Amino acid sequence: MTGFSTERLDNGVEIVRAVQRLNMVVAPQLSAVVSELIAMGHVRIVVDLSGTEFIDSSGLGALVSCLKKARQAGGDLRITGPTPHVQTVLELTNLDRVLKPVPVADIASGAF
Amino acid sequence: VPRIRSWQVTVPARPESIEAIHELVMALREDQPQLPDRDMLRLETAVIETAENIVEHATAGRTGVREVSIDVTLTATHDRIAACLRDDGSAATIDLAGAQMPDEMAEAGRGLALMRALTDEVSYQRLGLANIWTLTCLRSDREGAAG
Repeated sequence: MTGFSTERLDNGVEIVRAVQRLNMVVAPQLSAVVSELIAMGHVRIVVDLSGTEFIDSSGLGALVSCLKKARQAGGDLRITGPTPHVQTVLELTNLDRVLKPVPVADIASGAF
Repeated sequence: VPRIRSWQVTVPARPESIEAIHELVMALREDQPQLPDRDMLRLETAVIETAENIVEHATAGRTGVREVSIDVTLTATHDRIAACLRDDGSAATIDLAGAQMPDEMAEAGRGLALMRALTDEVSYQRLGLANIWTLTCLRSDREGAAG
């Protein structure tokens, strides 16, 4: 049981909705959920951060780990809807270079 | 004389205590809604980074001995919000001043660099049998603040 919900779009993209606080307690759960999706062959993943008000280095580490796993499996991982604070933390850690937000409209059209 | 308000909690150094520290920050935010959100989030993130660092490192190699505890005190004044985290665990072997942000694809090692980037001042000292961390964020709405 985790706080993460997933949704598969018609175009095969998996949306993972992250929790309010992405800290050391829940970061391993995000990794587990994404690893399971990849193991089932679902390698195009979008992590929806619109409900995430808080992220720390554990949460960032989990996102990078998930990104690497998705790419190794021939897919990709993007984020959508980062809140201003999450975007600030991504910029402070230079992760805005590798975790670029994708607009919601582009997810459904498969344009990422 | 500047008015100082403070909020305090003591928790065992375990992952499940992190939530109680988030709640302490929430209590401060609810009690002092005039404090800028972005400053509170900077402080909250730095405090949680510090607490997680304590949980991971101060308790290492201490099986069979008394549990480490963390005292967290938050203070707010007219121009700053600050936190002091005190624990009675092992001394931290860190290089706070030399902490660098790792490569984007690194899966760990951002904690100390992020603490420094989020705060205006951060310090660590070993005092007797205690580790003491202080974190300060100047308020973006303070008199004379840029932007």
